[in-house]
Amino acid sequence: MAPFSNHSYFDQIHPKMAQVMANVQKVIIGKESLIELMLVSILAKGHVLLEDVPGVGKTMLVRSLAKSLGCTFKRIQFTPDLLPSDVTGVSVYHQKDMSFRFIEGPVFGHIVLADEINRTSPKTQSALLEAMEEGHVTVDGDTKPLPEPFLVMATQNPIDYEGTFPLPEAQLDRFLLKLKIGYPDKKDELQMLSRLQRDHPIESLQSVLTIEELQQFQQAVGHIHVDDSIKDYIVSLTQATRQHENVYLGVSPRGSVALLRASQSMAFIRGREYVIPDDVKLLAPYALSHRLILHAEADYHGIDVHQVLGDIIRKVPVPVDKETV
Amino acid sequence: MFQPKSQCPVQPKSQSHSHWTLLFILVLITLLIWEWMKPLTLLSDTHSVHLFLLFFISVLVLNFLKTPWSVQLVLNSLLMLYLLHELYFEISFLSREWLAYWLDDWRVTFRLILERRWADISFLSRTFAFFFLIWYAAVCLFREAVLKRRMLWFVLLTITYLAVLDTFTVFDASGAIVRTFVLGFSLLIFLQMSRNRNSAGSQEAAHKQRSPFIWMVSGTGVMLLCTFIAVIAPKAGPAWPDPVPFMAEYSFGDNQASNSGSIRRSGYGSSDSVLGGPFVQDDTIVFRAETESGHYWRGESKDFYTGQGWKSTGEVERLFSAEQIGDVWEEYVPLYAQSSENDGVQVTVSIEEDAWSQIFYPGDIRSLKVTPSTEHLSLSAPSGKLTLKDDEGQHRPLKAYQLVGRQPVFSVEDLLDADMSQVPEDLRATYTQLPETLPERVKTLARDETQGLETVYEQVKHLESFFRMNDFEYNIDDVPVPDEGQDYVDQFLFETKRGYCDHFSTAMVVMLRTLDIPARWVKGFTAGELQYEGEGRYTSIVRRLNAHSWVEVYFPDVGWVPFEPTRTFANPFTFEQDEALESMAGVDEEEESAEQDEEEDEANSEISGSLNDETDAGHLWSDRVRAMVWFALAALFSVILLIAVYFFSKTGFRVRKKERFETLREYVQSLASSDQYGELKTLIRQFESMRYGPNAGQYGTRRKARKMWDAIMKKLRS
Repeated sequence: MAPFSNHSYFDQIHPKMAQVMANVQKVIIGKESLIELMLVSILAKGHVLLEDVPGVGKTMLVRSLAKSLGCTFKRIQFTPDLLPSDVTGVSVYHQKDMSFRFIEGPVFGHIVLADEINRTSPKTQSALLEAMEEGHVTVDGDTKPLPEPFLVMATQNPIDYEGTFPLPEAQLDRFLLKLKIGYPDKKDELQMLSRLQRDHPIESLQSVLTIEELQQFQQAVGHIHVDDSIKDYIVSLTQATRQHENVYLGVSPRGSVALLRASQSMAFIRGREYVIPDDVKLLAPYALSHRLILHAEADYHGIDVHQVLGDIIRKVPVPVDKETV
Repeated sequence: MFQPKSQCPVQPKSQSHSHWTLLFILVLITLLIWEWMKPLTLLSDTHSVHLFLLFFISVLVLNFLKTPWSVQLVLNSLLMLYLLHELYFEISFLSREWLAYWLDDWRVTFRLILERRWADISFLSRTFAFFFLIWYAAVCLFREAVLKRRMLWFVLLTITYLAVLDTFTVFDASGAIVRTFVLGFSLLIFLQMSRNRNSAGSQEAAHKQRSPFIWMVSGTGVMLLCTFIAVIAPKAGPAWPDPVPFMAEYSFGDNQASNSGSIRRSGYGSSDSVLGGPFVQDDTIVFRAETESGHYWRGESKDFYTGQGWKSTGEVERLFSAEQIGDVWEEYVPLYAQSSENDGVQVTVSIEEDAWSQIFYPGDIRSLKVTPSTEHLSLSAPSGKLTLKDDEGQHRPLKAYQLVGRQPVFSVEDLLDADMSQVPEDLRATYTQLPETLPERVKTLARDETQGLETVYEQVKHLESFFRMNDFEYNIDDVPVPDEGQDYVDQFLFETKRGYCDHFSTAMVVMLRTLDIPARWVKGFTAGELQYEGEGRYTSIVRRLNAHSWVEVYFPDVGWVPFEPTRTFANPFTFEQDEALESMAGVDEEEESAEQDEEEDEANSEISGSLNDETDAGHLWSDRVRAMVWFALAALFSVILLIAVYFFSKTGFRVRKKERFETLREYVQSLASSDQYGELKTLIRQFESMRYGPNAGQYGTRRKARKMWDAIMKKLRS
């Protein structure tokens, strides 16, 4: 918890956001930082890729988040035989009307959990990814807009790779953040057991926000001030990834934008009207790690993406004094 | 994969020591500082160490209570003034006189500093400076312990300090080292415990923590084990001689070396019936004297050797008044014949020891004045014991006395020519007495050693140097008492071969007596701590540990000639050689040096050379060496102090530079302590809003941000 309690020591969390976080924590024990990062993603209108083993509470996290925000929640379990129309929906012939009627697929929700996205065929994957990027789906020539707000949380199982279709790098780029839930502490897990002993707390969870409020906040994030020196810092970071010796493919400009949006969102949650370098530094690993490809040699030497990013973060000077910019 | 938790590069210092741990740490530091101060009473003119310690504690406590620095300044200054007053002034603390005196003293001190006459700076100013040093040390130690939690260097410094003192001074640090080890180790355990608790701030580390109890038990266990092993382990003897006696032996000559010689336990006692056994050095001052040279102080002689020790026989006590001393002395206990008389020596003695009634003298006494003045002086003959008695015949405490005595100068020619058949028969009978139990091998040894030497003087000189030439060791610690039935001299000569002045002098007397040479055992004090005062005058401080014993041999027409067989001591009496005899003596010495330890020979000839005609020069020279040793010590201490100060300045008061990749928050968190956080938080937020906020580009805001930055840095450095 250290980095977050640490920062919140200086900052005062936006009161509504604090409420949401407290609400979600009624269900999810601990994981304060993860909840905050999920909120960052939602407010920045970005999607999240979760790479995690089953059973650590992904569904619970997303459901409780959706409930707190007053959003609808949909879940798609991806399997190898899932078809694009199973995601987007199909037009069905209506005998009485003598016409085709569109039946909405599970993607028509505010918050969608796409479970084990790497189990399905690239064709189905791209149907979802297109929906994520465009904000609407096209079925039989008709374009259907998706509800606003719209957040996809896709999960990848890092083990059990047999017969899977890992997402290509170009697709990964569409996710704003890549997160990991991880196992809870012993203390947290114990607390979880006693909390789940009778009935599940999610049943009694109330929403804290309305959809309108959420949309207002999403608007406000765009107005968070970003000093030129911060933008310079972001670009310096992404450029450094392109020049790093161990990197085969560096971060795309889309990565820079993602980092900027996420930082704005973070500043908003922390109750500030401007982004500070700490936001950028904190989010860089989450926003950039899935946008990098390392050389095979680096893999061979046991160097992973996070080491490379850590290396870069330690090299790029932070704009504190005007002179260092 | 990426763990959100592991992401923070800096741990928050939201927790610090618990109050109890901190209190323990401070107590341990105080005890360690006490170890620093303890040797000062012994080695310097510092008294009342407890007052300095009190001041140290007060500085620590004020820091502990987080008193504002202005209050600390005022309170500590007041306490310092009060303690200074307590140490140096008798008049009321509130009177302005002492302050005026003090300010005046400051004026003088300032001038002395400008003139670089360091030695003349008054004790008052030195103490004042010492208080500041303590203040500084206390603040530094507090900061190091609380903020940095580093104490290892301090513990090591303490041990180094004690080791240096133990090596180069009379201070015995063996107990202090053990205590320091135990205290230092406990200190490190406490610091480690508090460090652990702090790093346990993140939750995943929490359950990995060992409890403080386990820390304490395992730490204490290791510590006790180490101490135990260290204490019982066999210790190799030092590879080099102890530097101080070593230097003293070869450069200081008689006066300094005598510090290490002494009679069993507490110096000068009256019973010598059982000799031997180890003893403890006692540095209580017996008397202070003003005199003209570094002579021995004769107390009395003993004539009867029992096989275990010495007794007086045939003692006759005479009472008389101080005016009669010259005649009485001449009649009953003359030491030297008129012919060997040289200069009169005038000495003034003030006794420091309570209930001391015996008078010590440099040679034959001509005249005497005692305080308190009395009609009853008691002189025992033939031992020469001179004491003060009251009306009832009981010993009466002596305060001071003044006497004029004779310093003999012996002519080697006369001694060589002495006709031993002229020795009066009764005197010969008394002073060649030997117990029947004396083993034959002692006699054989004496005979073998002196074989081929014609004159008695040559025989005596040879036996005097016999102990230096052979493997006899000067030792006060590891000396056994002879078993029942065992002869004291026999044990020393053939079995132990180590001992102190009593062993050497008794052995020499006994060996001389086996050769039918009349000799007796004398005890008294060595010259003590001599200081040259100019114009041929010395002051001397004689302590219990200066008690000594030596040998007197009777030569007809010369008298009782003193000899000094004890290793590391030199005969302070003057022996004059005629030119004709010098060549012969030279041959003698060459022969000797062939067998003798070279250095020792050098020391002997140097000392006898200087004592022959230029006694003053010899003492001046040794004064210079002593000054050099002290200077070296002072230099060493200053170097240690400088290193310590450098270390402090590196770590204590300077804030490390911000790394380029660090944000302000990270930088501040890595430096600030939790109690600084509150104020810094506001400053940092203000800075950030000016630096990164919507108005950041404007000139005014930029200037404000710069100011804010300076404020943060200032806060950090405080």
